Amino acid sequence: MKVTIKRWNAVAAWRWDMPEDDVCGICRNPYDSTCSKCKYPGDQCPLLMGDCNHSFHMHCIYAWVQQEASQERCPMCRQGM
Amino acid sequence: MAALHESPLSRESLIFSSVFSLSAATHTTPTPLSTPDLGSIEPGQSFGGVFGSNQPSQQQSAAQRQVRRNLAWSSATRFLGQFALEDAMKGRPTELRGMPSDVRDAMEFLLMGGGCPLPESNEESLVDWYTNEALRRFVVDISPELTTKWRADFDEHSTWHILIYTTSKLVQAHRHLAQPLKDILLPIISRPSRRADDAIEALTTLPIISRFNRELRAAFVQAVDAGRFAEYLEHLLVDTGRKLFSIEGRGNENGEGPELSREEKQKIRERLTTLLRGIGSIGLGGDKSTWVVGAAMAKLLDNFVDSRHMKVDWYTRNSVVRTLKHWVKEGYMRYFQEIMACLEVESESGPQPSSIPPASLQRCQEIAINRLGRARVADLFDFIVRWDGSLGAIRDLKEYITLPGARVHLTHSFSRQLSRRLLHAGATTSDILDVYVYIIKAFNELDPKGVLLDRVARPIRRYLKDRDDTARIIVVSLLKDVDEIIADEKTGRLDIGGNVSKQIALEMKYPSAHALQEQDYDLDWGNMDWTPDPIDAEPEYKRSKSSDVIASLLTLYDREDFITELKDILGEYLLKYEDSDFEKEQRLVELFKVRLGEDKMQACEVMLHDVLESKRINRDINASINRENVRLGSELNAQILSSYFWPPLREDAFRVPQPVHALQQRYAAGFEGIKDMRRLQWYPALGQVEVELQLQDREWRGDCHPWQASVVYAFDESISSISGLENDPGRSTTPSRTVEELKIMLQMDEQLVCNALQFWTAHRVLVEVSPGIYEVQETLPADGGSSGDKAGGSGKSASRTAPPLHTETGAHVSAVKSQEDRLMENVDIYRHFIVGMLTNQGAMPVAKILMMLKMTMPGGFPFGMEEVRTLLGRLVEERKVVGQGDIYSVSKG
Repeated sequence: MKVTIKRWNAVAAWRWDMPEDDVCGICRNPYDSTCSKCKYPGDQCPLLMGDCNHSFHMHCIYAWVQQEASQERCPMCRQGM
Repeated sequence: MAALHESPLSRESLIFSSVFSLSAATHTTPTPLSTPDLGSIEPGQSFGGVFGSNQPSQQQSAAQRQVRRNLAWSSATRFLGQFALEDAMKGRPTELRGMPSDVRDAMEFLLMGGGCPLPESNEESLVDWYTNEALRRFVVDISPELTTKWRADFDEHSTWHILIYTTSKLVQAHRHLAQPLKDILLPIISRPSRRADDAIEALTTLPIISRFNRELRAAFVQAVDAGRFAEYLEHLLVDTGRKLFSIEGRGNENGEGPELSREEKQKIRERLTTLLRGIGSIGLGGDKSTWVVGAAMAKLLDNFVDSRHMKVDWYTRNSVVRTLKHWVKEGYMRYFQEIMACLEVESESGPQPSSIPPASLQRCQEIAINRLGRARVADLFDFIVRWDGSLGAIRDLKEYITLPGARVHLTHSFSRQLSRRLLHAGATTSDILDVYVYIIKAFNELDPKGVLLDRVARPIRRYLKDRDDTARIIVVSLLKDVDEIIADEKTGRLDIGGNVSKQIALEMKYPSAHALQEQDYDLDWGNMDWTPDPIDAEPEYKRSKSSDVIASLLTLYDREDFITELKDILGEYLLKYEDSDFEKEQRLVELFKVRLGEDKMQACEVMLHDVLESKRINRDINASINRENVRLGSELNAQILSSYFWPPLREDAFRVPQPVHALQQRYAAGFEGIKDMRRLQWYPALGQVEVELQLQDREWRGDCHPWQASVVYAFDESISSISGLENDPGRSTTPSRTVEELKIMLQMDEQLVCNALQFWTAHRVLVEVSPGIYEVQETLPADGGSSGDKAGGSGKSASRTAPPLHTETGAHVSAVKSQEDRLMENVDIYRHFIVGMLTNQGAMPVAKILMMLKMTMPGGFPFGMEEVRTLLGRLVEERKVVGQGDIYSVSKG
């Protein structure tokens, strides 16, 4: 018997290439979820990783950086972004 | 003379007299002429002439008066006694005119003169005597005849006859008996020239007549069987009313044909009027018959409400209440008035007012509407189920529920109907949901305030909550295409009906969310249509927003529960129908967003977004893969999910076929190339695979689950060499595998392996040669043949020239046998089932028999059409079954 697979409709899930169960340090949502303002995860709510290797939802960290008090430092380790 | 009067006193009269002593005790027959009781005179008194003086004298002694009175009494009573009732009734002239003067004088003496009964004595007055005489005559002459007439059995058709006969007889009797009183006695009494004696009360004629009438009527009533009279009168009134208003009979047993013409109705009406006047004049009407009329009218009303006039309007769907009200006003009340007017001709209350007082008309209309409403409520469940053809019935109820007590009755009765007919284990959830949708619609029409709906819906909602498949059915129905359902219903497919509520699906055609605009109904001061809440609304009653169907369905559960359910079902849907554009799903998500709040629906939106996005990604990645090279001819499409937002998915892991695995890796690489910082994680068990199997004598194409594809791929000829079980890779061989081997090879769950093996055996691709060992069935065995190897391998297997290897022949033979063995093991059950089914359900095509077997056999029916045909063929040989082409039925021989 010769088996030919004509079409394979598979299902896969994407994840950010991050350690499991880690959450954004600002909004406390998982990386795979969105920041509190976005609706769709992934392309529309990407992650940003600072030099210090701390990652946040892009929108979260932008909002943080725009605050005066932040002094453009990482909220986790106080290093400059 | 005495004998003449004694003889007619028949036995019956004697009995009558013995019971009703009024006449017997005090009545005296006229004194015979031969024995005038002259009395005696006191000494010193001269014998005066009997009629010597009509001047009453103070000195006259009591004895003299007595003598005189006796004489006058005798002549007056003798004269009045001449009157023969029987003759009068037969129309013979009665001689009363020529009254001799002595009789006149005697009467005057008795009525107005000294002959009047003294206050303290128990002397009888002449009028009383005559009254008694009249009664006696009636009892003697008329009553027996009537009594026998009434005692006889007669059916209801002769109602008219007996009533008319009785009435006319009594009217006549009354007239004749009253005549002497009016013609002779009254003129004497009322003669104005007469000087009234002190001892005598001033008598006017009217009380005398009415007293006489009263006595006589009492006798009439005695003569007629009161119970039966009432019965007949009631029947007559109802029957006439039905004829007049063209109310058809229930059984129509007396063949009341078409509607009567106007003239006929008029005739009936006149006849009735005459009869009733008669009844009124002889005293059988009046108070006595009021309750008879009441009962008759109530019956007539019931009849009318049940009649075709008050049928539910299924066509124009209008309310019949207007017709009913009009009928009550113009027909019913008039009829009633007419009857009462006739019956109360001689009542003292005077003439009836010709117009009906508005209050009593309204009361009567209310009663009529109440009857109608109750009739409708009794069948309310049936009306609801037949919504919206039954709109007319619901509209009828609108008027009814304004009456006191009606709303309670309606909710109470309907709830009972619901619990008896709907809310039990026998009804499927989708049926209940369908009916619930109808109820919502119907009760919104009935009571826009929603109080009734609130009450009625409560038990249904509670019940629906208890069923575990409710939420699923609601969501599935919302997702289902109505046109699809209708098409399925037409083709009679089986899976529909059990799992989908058509009404909910229909509702999705108009998913507009108009529920939100009416929040501040009570605070809208400018609203001129404002009405207070109905009386049975609770103090803090607020119209729930669940007025429209979808909203009420969605509020059945807590929001969260619903969304969880929705996520599951939507996820399943999205993964199942990969090729559609998901328009319906998008609409549904939008709808839910409006109803349940946007924030809750993020997951669903993400899911939708994912599947749509996946299509684009597929195109991109496949394009780039194809650019490199085309290998295996297979295509990999992936749905890339944002796992965080999807419901937990099935994560059984197993090894997919090597080429697919390679493709997946390539795909993942492509994906990571497009999307930075992300990686893919495959769900091997999800998705769908289209495979094509090339066997020696046939091809098999179709869709299957990924694990099924993986299992069948393990039997591929190219794999067999890898597994090392076969040693000749150049040849087409049929490797055999055990479940254990497959489990290890594919690292798959035993459950999945078995499922896949079953699937392929059912499709006759694999064969279980011995328990737990499977092989490919390269060639299908010929029907009934033991080794169909050569016979069956005609067409495509012609390429196979060399005889199979030694092991294979045996395996193949055993494979066939094993298949047959399994069939033979259960053959009795199958045969029994088939014969039973054909007996019960009539002729059936083979395909349907197969389907039924597959559906109902415990443990499944792992065979195909051919086996069923074989079974049927044997049954035909045994003459238990007859086959006509492809359709088989039980032989009737």
